Amino acid sequence: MTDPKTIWQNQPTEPSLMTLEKIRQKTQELHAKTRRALLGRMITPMLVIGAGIFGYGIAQVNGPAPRVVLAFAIFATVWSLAGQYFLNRGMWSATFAGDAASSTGLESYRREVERRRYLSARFLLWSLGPVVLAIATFIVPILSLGIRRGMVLNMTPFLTLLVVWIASVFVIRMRDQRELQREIDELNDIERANIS
Amino acid sequence: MGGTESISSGAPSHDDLFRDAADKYGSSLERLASAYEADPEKRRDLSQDIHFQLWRSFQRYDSRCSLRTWVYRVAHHVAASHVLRERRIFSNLVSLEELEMLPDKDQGQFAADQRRNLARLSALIQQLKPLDRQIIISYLEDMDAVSIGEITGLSPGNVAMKIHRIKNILARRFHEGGDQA
Repeated sequence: MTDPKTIWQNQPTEPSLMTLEKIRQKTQELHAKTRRALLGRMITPMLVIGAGIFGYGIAQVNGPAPRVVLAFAIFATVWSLAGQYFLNRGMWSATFAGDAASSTGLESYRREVERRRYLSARFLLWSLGPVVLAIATFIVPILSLGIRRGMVLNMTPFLTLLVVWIASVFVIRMRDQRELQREIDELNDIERANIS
Repeated sequence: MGGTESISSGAPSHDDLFRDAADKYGSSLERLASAYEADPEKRRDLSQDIHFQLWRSFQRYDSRCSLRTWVYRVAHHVAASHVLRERRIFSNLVSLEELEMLPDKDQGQFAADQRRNLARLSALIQQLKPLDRQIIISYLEDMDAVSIGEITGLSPGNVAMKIHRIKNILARRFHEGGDQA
């Protein structure tokens, strides 16, 4: 028996246990998960603040222009907090199931791909950007200290790893964006074929 | 599949609508989840998510489309979002749980072939992009081109062309493979 429809429709399936009671339970779980996710996203601004304080501390003791470092640290913190706001807003704008049902599969899929692409682009601006600036606020004072004490060579492996990490995140995100853009282009072609 | 009827304007609650949909399309939704997710644990989560979003969606159900179209649109939307969210690297591997679920060899050649055919069919579907997956799943669920067009938003001509391709692929893979199995 190799009729694909028969094979497909006769496959063993587990009966769904999603009763209304369980759904209400899931609603509460979802609220708790959302709260946890929001708290989890505060890790990035915390790291940025930590790096800023650390950098300012070093600059005050040994480094150059502590006020400039402080200004950059404050700017990175504000940038990061604003970034979390914009990223969260983008994440919660996911299509509501009721809206998805009112539109066709093509439309709702397209909206989802476009949303992912938007979020991926915003990640570079609102998340990676402040993190890189915060790293700079403590790397520059450490580097200037290292130069004065002739320890730059010792710092090279750490600095190399840092550069590789930043470049990798950037390259991966750019690749994601290209893939999502290709998907959007294909959906455009399908839509054009639909009209003609 | 007799599901093209619309809910009459007797204004059932969204709980009632959900119960009705789960009764009628529960098995189809399980099959749909299996087409989008190979890992049993994640599949269970996806299936629960589909049911949950379906229940939420009925707050806005307005009888403009059939219950079946509504159910499939929501299910495909949730599943396609899941595909976009997940990054698949190990999709060709099976987990211990899956291995454990495989029946004993002495269940016979026929069962083994059935299982193999289903695995091949699932693997084939899981290679496809979400929109094409919507079409092949709907086709395998025995829907006609008009219903598939309603769910996906593709024109009848486009759907017909895609179904023609699906038939060719399935015929080539399953008749050739079937002889070997």
